[in-house]
Amino acid sequence: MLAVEALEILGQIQVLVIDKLQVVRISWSLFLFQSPYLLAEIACFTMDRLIHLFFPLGQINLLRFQVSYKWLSRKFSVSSNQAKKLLREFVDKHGNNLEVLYSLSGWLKNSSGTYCIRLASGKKLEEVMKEFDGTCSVEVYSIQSCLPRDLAVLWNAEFVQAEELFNQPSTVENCLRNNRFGGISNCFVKRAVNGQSAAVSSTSQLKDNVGIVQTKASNVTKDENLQPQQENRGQFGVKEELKSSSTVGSIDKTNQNVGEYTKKTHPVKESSNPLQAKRKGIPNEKTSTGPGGSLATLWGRASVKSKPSSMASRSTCDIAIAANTADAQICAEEAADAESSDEEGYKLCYKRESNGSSTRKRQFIINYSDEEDDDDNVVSLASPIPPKEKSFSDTMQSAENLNVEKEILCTNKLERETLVNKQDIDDKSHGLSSEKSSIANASFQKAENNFQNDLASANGKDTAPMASKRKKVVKTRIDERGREVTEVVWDEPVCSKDADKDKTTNDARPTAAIKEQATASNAPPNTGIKGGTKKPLKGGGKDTKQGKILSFFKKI
Amino acid sequence: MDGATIEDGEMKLFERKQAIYKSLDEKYLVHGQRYKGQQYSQIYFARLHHLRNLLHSLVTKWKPHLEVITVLGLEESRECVIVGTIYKHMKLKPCILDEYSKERTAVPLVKPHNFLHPDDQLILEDEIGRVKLRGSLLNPTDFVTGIGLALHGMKTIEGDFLVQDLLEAGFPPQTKLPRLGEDKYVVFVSGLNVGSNIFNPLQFQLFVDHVTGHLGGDNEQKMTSQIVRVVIAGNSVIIPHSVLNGQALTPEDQRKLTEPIKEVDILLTQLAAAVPLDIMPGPTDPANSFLPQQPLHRCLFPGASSYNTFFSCTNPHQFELDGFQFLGTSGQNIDDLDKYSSAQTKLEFVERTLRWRHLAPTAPNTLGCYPFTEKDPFFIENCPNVYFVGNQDKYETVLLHGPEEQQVRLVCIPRFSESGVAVMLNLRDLNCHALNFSADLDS
Repeated sequence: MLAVEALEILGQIQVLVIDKLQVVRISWSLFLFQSPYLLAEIACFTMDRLIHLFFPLGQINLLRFQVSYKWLSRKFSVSSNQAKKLLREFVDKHGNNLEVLYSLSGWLKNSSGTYCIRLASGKKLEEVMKEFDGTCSVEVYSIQSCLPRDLAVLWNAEFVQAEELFNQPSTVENCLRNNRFGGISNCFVKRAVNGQSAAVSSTSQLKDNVGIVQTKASNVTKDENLQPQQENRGQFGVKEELKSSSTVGSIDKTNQNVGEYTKKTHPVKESSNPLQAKRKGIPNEKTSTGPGGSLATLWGRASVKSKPSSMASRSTCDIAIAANTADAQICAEEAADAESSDEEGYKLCYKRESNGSSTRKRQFIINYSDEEDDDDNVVSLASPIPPKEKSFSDTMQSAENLNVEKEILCTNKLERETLVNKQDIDDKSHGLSSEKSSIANASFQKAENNFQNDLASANGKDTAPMASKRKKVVKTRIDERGREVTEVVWDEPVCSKDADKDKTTNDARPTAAIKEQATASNAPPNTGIKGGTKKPLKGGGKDTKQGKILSFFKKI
Repeated sequence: MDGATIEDGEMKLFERKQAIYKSLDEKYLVHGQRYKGQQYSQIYFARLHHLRNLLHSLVTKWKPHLEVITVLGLEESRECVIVGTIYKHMKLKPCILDEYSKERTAVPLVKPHNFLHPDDQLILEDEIGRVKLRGSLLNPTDFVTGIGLALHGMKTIEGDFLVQDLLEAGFPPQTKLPRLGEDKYVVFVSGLNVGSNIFNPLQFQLFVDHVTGHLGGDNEQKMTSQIVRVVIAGNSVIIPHSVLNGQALTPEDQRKLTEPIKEVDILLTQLAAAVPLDIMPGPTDPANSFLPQQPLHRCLFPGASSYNTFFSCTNPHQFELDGFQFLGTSGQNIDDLDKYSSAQTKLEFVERTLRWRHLAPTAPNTLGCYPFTEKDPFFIENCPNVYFVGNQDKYETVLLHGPEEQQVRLVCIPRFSESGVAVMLNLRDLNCHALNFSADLDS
């Protein structure tokens, strides 16, 4: 019994921890994607956090945690090789407190012609290595608090993960099904989905990366303090009464200038896209809004969370861009474009797949894009797989942690930013972003007492002035249960559709405000949509412990 | 996007090598035939027909001065050659009627490993007659029922046939071995026994991770990228038979039944997503028990079967890979030979079946077999380049050289769940090595 309980606790804590880690990691990764080394650092950092979070509990000895490279790889959507490297680096730093399991592979010495792949504990590593003939590769297989008596236990977590991936509807492409994290690619592997065959590994990697960005949404959502404000926002969005809320209003004022500026830069698209967005947005809202008030809260939360997490990371740059000189903006945009172009490709690929599949309803895809897919969206919203909500106690706990994390995040962001944009923007963006955030903070605090500083800062960034366009963005993330969730969300890119997703996402809320004034009708649906989208997502991400929220979705 | 560039930039992805695959399972497939009272005699007829045609042509070279006659045409003290099918009379061979015999028999107890007894006798049969065989040349322990032989000798006064020499069908002809300029590996594994107590999931996961390119560094992954096919030679699943008592299953029991299969499916999905995969049914798998076992139904593996790399095959399984001929079974034929004859190693049994030119001579006598009427699908017409047998006790392999420059790699694939060994075969030079997976820290 005790063991079982302990395991349960462990599971919950792990989920919590991981959630938070993901927030950090993801936001970082937004900045750092181009640098594998930095990415590695991030993951190491997350591992650090993991350990730190375990130790304060004083239960490190009781709690058995195991992180195997494969689990890590699936969890964080990195390749297995990378995951092994991360573990290795982590072991190098913190090896003392851990039991490390190595995997060795190579030719055996004594028996001719036997290639051996085996596991060895850190203590016996040297000894075991002697059995091998000369060079054998040694890699970290897993780290754990203590070695289980039966190593098959190690496999369980992985298998649970695999099973979850496996149980996803057959139309969903995930890392289990295309082996994209392996070191060997095989482009001849095709998978038949409902009679149609689809290339398994071609576009998968890109999707994943996009997905990483998304993971935060669910995590961020945990803060209950956010709810009230979010609620307001969501409602405002729908009712187009932005001005009524003080917070929004203040933000608007601060950002207005910038917003206008950006608007000017892309006036043409604005006109058309908002309409689309609206069209789309309304049905979506309806579908997601069944329960009324509670729904609104959900919305609010969702919208805030979704955006901040993904946007927050880039928000600093964006703000800087928006507010600064044309030069800065151009630079930033170029950078963004470069990144987003890939993404665009993904989007296309992805779409093809999803369209081809007839079993859309069962997919985890949440498609908020308009264009041809209008009907599809409604369908997917209406009958998503029952999302699972995390228990509120969890959320409470996480909220605290989150704040800490956020702070870290902010600072990190700044640092990273410099790395990413090496142009002269750096200085400006730094100054500006901090400025902006502080302003935003102030305004927020006035409006909402509940708001915590760090959160506010994050939001403030989000609320930075944005461009006026919307675009469809496909986001794929891997939720806590290891499933890949893909959603198509409407975003307002600063420039062309190619514009960076991050930018666009960042802009979302502020744009809403701006649009209110400019094109009053468009903005609200957008925010509403986002809120709506987040909801199911978040639901999907959490554990199934709460029935209410689920039922809520079913009603819809 | 970003991650991809990272991964691509940082880690080099190996491209898996490909090989041209051609399934030759057609002759083992039983298409919608129904039992209409067929008898097994027709298989023996077909077999004898094949073998006699073959042996007759050989005899003219072997003993050109001797006449080939039928059993009924034997005359005392006249040297001749007879061709027929061996029947081995065994004292200990279990008989279904034993249960019903009222008398207590004086038959000695069966030894645990096989049914051999010193009094066993060989008899040669053709379509119309049979004759007891004698002579020191013919050791009954080496032979089993169902082999076609040509015997040189003469009839004795007692009416037996004194064997002076014997001729087996010999190695089948082989097409010229193709040459490969590069290393390409085929991996054989058998006896996963998922669902049994001895199955160690971590061990097999190591196998999967290795083959799919998750484990190991650059060197290892480079090597595994040369694996062009994985063949699972039977006994992937253990079905808990205790659950099947002829009554309706409770949901719980149903879960017990399906759980191991699903587990296999998940593992196979990972494999199939990375590498072409052949899965053959074995004695414990949810397939028919008679040879030839028909392919495991795809609905058993909803995940893995959606891949174009997943091939559910018959047992025996025959295929061609880049021009190399493969032939293999899940081990029943060799296991049955082990029960009714003896040899130093399992490889010897395998070699014998090749020389007898028959995959499963003991079918249908002691090995379940579909009652074919037109053909004997187990007759080996062409010599394979690789002949593998699954579910054996240990890994053994040998490269046989036939009289006509045939080269055959014989492989006994050990049960993975017990040994943790898979077999890796290099197509370029037909060399083999063991892949040993150990998830046990103490060993």
